[in-house]
Amino acid sequence: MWKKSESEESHPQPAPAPMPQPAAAPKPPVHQAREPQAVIGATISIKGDLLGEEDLLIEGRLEGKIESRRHSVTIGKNGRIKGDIYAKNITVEGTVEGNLYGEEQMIVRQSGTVRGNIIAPRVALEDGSNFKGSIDMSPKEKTAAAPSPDRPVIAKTT
Amino acid sequence: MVQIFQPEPVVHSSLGLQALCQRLQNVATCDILELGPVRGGNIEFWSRFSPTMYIADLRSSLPMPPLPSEDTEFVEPEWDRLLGLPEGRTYDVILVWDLLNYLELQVVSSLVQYLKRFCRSGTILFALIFDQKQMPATITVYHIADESHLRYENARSEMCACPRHQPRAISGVMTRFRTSNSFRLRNGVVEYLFEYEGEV
Repeated sequence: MWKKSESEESHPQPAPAPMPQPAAAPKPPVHQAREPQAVIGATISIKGDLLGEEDLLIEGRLEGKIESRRHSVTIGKNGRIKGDIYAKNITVEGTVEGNLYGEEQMIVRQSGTVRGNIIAPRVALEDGSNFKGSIDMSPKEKTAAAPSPDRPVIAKTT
Repeated sequence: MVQIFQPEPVVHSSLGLQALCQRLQNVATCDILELGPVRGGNIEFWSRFSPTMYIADLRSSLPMPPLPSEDTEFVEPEWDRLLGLPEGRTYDVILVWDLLNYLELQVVSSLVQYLKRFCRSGTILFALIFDQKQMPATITVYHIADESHLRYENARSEMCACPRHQPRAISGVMTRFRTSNSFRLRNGVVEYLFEYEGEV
């Protein structure tokens, strides 16, 4: 169902080392610097939650929760999501109806549409993107605290 | 007759925005209700106040033209549907921008009455009222350039007649709000900061 993205597949392999390296000082190959990205293609429809521990690109349709808290989730231009998304970084180029929880950052591209709430410390919404909902960029301490409906007013009278 | 809007200098002074930012300077966090569309630069600007923002984008929800003809019977707009605001939340700042120019006073009154339930004592409502014969035919999108400057984005450059809501008329429909600040700018815009006094 998932496949490696084309960009990953076409990534050039490092040239074989001409001489064997000493075992004491191994260097990771260059291609391991980037983590592989799982892709859900445009023809795929899923009903149910999606849990993962790798970067994820969704071009298809999904009704359910997406959870990849230590990795990035990208909703591609063709992607249509109905459900909440939990990830380290979230990028939306397609359409999402649900709440987005970004541990680090959240980006809605110009082609993106979001109907829901965004909770992330850093939020970037490109001009032309379509968004309706709330954006919570407050520190985690505040987010975790129960909101008080009658908390003091911040505005001062002049 | 439709006239072509000659864009003025790109960036305009905004004493209203400046006054609003001064009020927010010492706050730890704030809740902002944006009635305009989302603009990345504006979100970035407000992020310094560690806000929770709600983007209502009323511009895209309102039937166009939003200003009904005078002989049309008044129908209470479905603000619940148009704004989609979560119940039980209140905001420190409501960014109305120039929206009120495109609504009849009766509709302005209806909107203000509706918004009150999302206000707490001291909530600031930031509005721009045109005081000139003509105004842009569509609601303007405002980009915050810095704490005292706005960039106006008009998708279309056509102009239309301006209702020129008078200060007394506006104050009359803004019940339980007091005019905290008002600034008449050289470009024919009056910027208002209305402050909600709470219900008695």
